[in-house]
Amino acid sequence: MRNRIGSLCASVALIICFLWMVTMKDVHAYIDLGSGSFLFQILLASLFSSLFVLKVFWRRIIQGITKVLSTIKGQSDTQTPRR
Amino acid sequence: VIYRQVNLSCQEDYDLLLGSGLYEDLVNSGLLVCHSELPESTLISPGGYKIIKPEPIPFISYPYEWCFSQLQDAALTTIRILKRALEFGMSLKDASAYNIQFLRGKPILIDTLSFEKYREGAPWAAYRQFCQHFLAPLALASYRDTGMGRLSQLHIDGIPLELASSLLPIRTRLKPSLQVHIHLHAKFQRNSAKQTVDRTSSNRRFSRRAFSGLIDSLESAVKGLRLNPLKTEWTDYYDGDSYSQTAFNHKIELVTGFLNEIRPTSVWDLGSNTGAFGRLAGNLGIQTIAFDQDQASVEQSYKTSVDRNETNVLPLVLDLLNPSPKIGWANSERMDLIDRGNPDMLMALALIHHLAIAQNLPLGMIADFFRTMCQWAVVEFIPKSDQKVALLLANRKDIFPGYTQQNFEAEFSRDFEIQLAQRIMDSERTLYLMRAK
Repeated sequence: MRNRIGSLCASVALIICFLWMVTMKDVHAYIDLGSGSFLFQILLASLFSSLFVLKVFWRRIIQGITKVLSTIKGQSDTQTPRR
Repeated sequence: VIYRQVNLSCQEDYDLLLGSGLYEDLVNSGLLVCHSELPESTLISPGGYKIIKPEPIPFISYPYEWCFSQLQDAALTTIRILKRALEFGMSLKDASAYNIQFLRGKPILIDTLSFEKYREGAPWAAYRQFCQHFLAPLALASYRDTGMGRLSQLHIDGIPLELASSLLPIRTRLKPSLQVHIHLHAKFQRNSAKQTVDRTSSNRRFSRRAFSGLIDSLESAVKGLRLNPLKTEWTDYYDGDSYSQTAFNHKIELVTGFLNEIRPTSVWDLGSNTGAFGRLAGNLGIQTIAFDQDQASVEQSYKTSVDRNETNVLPLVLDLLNPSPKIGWANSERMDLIDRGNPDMLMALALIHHLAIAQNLPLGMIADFFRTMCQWAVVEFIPKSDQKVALLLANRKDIFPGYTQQNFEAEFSRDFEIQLAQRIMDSERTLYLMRAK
């Protein structure tokens, strides 16, 4: 009797394992990691876009300041009396 | 010599590469290997459009043989090429580190067929590859250990981002570039891996501005990675007590004399340390590969090469006891060390005692191995009485009765003909010039 219960439990466990295996969702060999990277970029498109705009904007500010400073420096150089 | 067939399926992209002026621009900037086209009659298989013959690369090296700065320079070269390509309406469809080689001291793209027409709205097809081939190994070397570069040898298509993410310390999650391009990227890959994506769908837009932002972000991520100042027992080898100045100068004089006498076309300097002696060959215009197993020494050697704008010296990381094997599909995608061409001359200076005593290799086996590689060998023998060899034996039993100069000459004479043997002044070391039998 005990043996029968044991084999029944073993059979049920095997069936459960089998069902778990056939219904398992993550089968690594079929995962396309490239799709994830593709969607990831789309998701972050606004972030990358904003970063780029910020960079261009920042570069223009720096260029503007450099231009103003060089103009001021040029003017002060021409106004300095020669000895 | 390598020939490549451009198939008809790539005709449009190939024509655009040449027609747009991008090819000329990149070749002139030293960023892309130049090629010549062969007559149509040479087509290898149906569906072919052109056969091209790229300029040969003297020595093919692999990312797992590069030091940190070499990989970083290769990554930045890829980004530079992509930026230039965008200006000409093209993009890179591959960002494999294997597509970059070192030619005349600088990283260069060798895959002429990596270019494709840029399609407005499409994300970067090679984003994942760039992160796996460049960003992940660089981050691991920067935050964990320089030896992590060898992981690229196990994972031929780059280090999986999930693995990189799990290996990187938690503090890297506070670094926005690594949090986005490695940690979040890895998590997202896993979560959305089962989704079917129509990559041509017009609903999914990735503007040109976003594309440029992505490239800038990757560039900053790569540039932002630093290697902690490395100092190992090997990096100050020449500054330490290994040599007297007289011995060092005399050794330089002897090696230079051998090089001038033989005038080899190529030299491999095994155990080159920071490349001081390999550089003697490079300075004479000889193609030289300076191998060492110590990452820090190779890093120092590469930086010296870059600073001096050297074109003939290529420092590489190589563990002689476990040299790069054949890997990849059918064990033939990446070659082992020997298959990549033998040098005319091999230099093994202050190396034999490490192999014979520290690594228990019989002298005869070392000679046999050297013989398989070269025609000429410059080998230094250091006797047991030398302080460096004595140091190796300090904490172990001397089980090397065969390690004598007489035995060394006898074992090497089976494979080589000893042409010259010169004692290095102010030392007990002897330098041999040998010719393969």
